Amino acid sequence: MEQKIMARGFEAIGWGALAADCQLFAGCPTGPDDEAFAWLAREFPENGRHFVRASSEVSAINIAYGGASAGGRAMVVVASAGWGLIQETMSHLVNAFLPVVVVLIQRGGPGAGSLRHAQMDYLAVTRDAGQGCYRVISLAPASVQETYEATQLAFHLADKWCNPVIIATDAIVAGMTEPLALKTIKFDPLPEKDWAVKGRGHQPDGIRRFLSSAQGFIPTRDFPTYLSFLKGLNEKVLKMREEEIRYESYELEDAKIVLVAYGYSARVCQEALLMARAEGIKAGLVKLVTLWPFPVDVLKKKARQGAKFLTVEDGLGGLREDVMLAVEGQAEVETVDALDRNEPGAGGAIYPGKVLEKMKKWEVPKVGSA
Amino acid sequence: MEQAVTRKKSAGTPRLRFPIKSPIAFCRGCLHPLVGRIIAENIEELGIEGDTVLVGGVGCHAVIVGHLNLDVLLPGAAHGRAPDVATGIKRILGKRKTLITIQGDGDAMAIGTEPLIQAAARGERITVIMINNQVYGTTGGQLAPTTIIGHPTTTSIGGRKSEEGYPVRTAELLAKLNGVVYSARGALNNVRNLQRTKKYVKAAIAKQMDDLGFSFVEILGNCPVNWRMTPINSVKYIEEKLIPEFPLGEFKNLK
Amino acid sequence: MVKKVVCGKPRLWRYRSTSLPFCPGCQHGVGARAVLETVEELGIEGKTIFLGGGGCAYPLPSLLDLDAMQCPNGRATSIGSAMKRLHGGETVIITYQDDNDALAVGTEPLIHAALRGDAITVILANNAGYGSTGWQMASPGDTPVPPEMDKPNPLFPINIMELLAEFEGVSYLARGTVSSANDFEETKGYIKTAIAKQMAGAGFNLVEILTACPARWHLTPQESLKWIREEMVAGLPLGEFKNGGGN
Repeated sequence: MEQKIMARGFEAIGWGALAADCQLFAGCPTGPDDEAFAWLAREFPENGRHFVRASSEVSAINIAYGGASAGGRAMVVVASAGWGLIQETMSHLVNAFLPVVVVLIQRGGPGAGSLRHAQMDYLAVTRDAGQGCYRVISLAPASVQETYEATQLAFHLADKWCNPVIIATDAIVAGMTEPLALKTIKFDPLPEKDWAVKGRGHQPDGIRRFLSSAQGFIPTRDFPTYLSFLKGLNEKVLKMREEEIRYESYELEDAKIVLVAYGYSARVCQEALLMARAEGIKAGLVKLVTLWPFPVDVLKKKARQGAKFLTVEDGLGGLREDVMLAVEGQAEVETVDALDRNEPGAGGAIYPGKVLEKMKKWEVPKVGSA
Repeated sequence: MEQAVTRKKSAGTPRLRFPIKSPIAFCRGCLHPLVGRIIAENIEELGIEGDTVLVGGVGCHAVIVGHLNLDVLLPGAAHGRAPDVATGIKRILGKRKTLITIQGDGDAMAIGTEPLIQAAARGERITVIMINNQVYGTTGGQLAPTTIIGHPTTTSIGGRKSEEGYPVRTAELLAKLNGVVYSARGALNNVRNLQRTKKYVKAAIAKQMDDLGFSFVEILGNCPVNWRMTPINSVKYIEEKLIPEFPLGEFKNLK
Repeated sequence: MVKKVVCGKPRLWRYRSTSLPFCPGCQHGVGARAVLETVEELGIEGKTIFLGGGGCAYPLPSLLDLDAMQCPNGRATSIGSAMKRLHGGETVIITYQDDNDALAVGTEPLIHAALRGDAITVILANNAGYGSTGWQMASPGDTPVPPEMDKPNPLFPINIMELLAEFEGVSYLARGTVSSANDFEETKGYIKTAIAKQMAGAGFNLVEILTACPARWHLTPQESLKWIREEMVAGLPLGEFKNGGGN
C-alpha cells in the first residue's frame, strides 16, 4: 500500500530523487531554493546518499558532472538567479553525453529580480542557453504529486538519452503543500552505463574509458569528425522530439479558445476553464508537461479548426513564441502575462479572473450555438 | 638460495602509455610529458592503475591525461572545474578509487580558483597536480596568476610589472587550508628534481589512499615556444629564475 | 573641544523607517555602522563608493547616503577593482560582503583582487553561514560550527587572514567583532587603518568582522554574542594579521 503524506513541492523533489535512486546532490543555495536544501541536507545523508555543499552553482553543476561521469545519478537544484551560472557546464554535459537532473525553481528576474515566483525562464530552458546548438528535455510540474513523479521521470529520461534533463518548476508549485502519494515508478529497463569511468581495472572488458566534453574537437571512436558529432547530436534531438512530447488536454474537442499554460499558471487555467464553461464559453486547455519538446501538432490541429489561443504565463512572452510557431500564422494568439498580475508587489500572480476577462474580450460562439 | 632482485627501470616508456593514433603532440622541448611519466610511474609502482581516474583540465596539460591507459576525463568538463568534477566522481566511486587531476596554472589558479580552494578547504580526498609554466600556454602565452615580475608575455609585453599584481605561490597558499594534508612543489629542470618531484607526487597520492584529506603538488615546468627560448634555455630559466621565486619542497605533510 | 557622538544614527543612514530590515540581533547594521562612522570621521563621504554583496546585507547600499551599488553575488570585489581603476586613487572603494559572498561564491574575485593588489577595502561580515538562505553550511566560508553539523567530510573554516597574509599586494588584514562597545571601537580602528592604507595607495586591505546571526544560529542575540566570543574566535582569532606591504 502506498504511503500518503502531506508534502511541499520542495520536499517532493527530494522524495522523487530518493525514489529514483539519486546518489549525489550538489548545491549552493539562492533564494527560494534553499528550502529544498534543508530537506535534502537531512534526508540524503540519512538515506546513504551524498549531499555536497558547493561554494556556488558553478561548483555544484560541475560536482554533479563528476557524479554522472562515474555512472551515478546526480542532481542539482538552482533558482533562476543561479541558472545562468550553470550554462557552460550544461553545454559540456550535452557534449559529453552525460545525464544530470537540474531542478530549476523559477523566481522573478532579470538580475536579482524578485525572490518570489515567476515563469520567466521558458526560453532559457527550451532553447540552448549555453554555447552551441542543443536541446534538453524540460518538464514542468504543476502540483506536488507531479513534482514527485516528474523528478523520477527526469532521472529516467536523463539516463535514457544520456543528456541533462531540466525540471522547470516555480516557487509557487515548489512552495505549496499538498497530499503526496509515495510510489516508486517502474520504468522500462535501461542499458548499463558501461561508458562510466570507474578505474580501468573495474571495466569488464579491461579497456580504459575516455570521457570528453570536447567531442568533435578531438576525434573519438564514436565521432571521428566534428560534422559526425553534430550529426549525432542532431539525431538525438530529433528522436527526443519524436518520442518525449508530453501534455494534458482538457475540453479540447469543441474548444474555440485554447488556453496554453504550464506550472502554476496551468492550475490557474484549470479554474478559469471551469469559470468559462459555466458562462458558456467554449474554452479548452493544453497543459504542457514537457516544455521541450513542445506539442506542436495538437496546437496546429486546433489552429486549422479555427480556434484562438490564449497563452497564460507569468513571464514576458516566452511561451507565446512557441505557440505562434506551432500555429504557423493560422490563428490569433493572445497573452496573459506578468503584466497582468493582480498586484504590483513581488507576490503578485496571475489569477483565474484575469484569464476569464481576456477570454471574454474575444467574441466566440457560446455553448449551444452553431 | 637466489633472491629475487627488484629491477628498477631507469629508462623506457611507462607501461601505461596509451598508443593514440591521432596527431596530438606536445611542442619540442615541452616538459609536460614528463609530468605524465611521473604520474604513470607512480601509478604503476603503487599498483593502482585499475582504480585510478584522471581528470584533465583544459589546456595543453590536459593532453597528458589522454596519453595514459586509464579511465580518464579529457577535458574534465569546463575550464578550471576539474577539482569539482573529481569531487563528484570520488563521492560516487568511493574511497578505494584514486582521483588525480592534472591542471595548468591558468586552469587551476585563474578560472579555477574557486573550485581549487573550495575543494581543498572541504578536504576532498583528491590529488591535484598543477603545472606552473608561467603562462597560459595553449592560448598563445598570456600572463598567468603565477607569472613572475619581469617575465614578458603577450599580455605583459615589457615584462610583468608589480603594479599589475603579484604572482601567487599556490603550494604555500593551499598549505594554509585546514582541509589540505599535503602540499609540495617540485621542478623538472634536472633528473634530481624530477626524482624529488616523483616522490612528492607519490606522497600526495598516498595521502589520498590513506583517506586523510586533500593533496597537492605544484610542478615547475616550461613553455619554450611561448617563453621564446630554446628548450635548453627554458630549462635554465626554471633553475635560475623560477626556483628562487617558487622554492621547492614540502609545505605541508600531515600524518 | 572635540565633540564625540556617543549615540544616534550615523548621518549617512538615510532610511526613514525606525528599524532596519534585519532580524533582531543581526549585526549587519552594527557592522555597517562601524564603516559609516569611520567614513564620517575621516570626512570622505563625498568620495566613497559603497559596494554591497548579496545575502542578507543586500539592502545596505540602498539605505546609505553614499554612492552605492548592489552587486551580484561574489562580484563586489571585481566591480570594486574596476571602479578603482576608472575613478582613480582619490575614490575610496569599500565593499561589504558576508562570508558566503566573499569566501564561497566570490572566492575567485577576492583572491585575484588581493593578488593584483587592488587598493580597495573589503569588509567581510562573517556570520558563519548563508544568513539569508537559511544557514546552509557555507562550504568553507565558515567558521567553527556546532558539533552536530560535523558530518563525514567535516567542513573546515577558511581563515582568510592566513591565506592573504603572504600576498605581496595585500597591505592590511585585521579581524574584529562588534560584540561590545570596546570591540566596536577596536574594529572601527581597524577599518580606519584599512581605509588609510587605501588612500595611501598601499594595496589591497580587508577587515573581517565576526557578526551574529541569531535567527539562523537558533540562538538568542545574547547567546549569539557568546558563541562568537567563545567558539568563533577560537577558530578565527582577532587582531591585525598584516600591517605593511602592498604597492
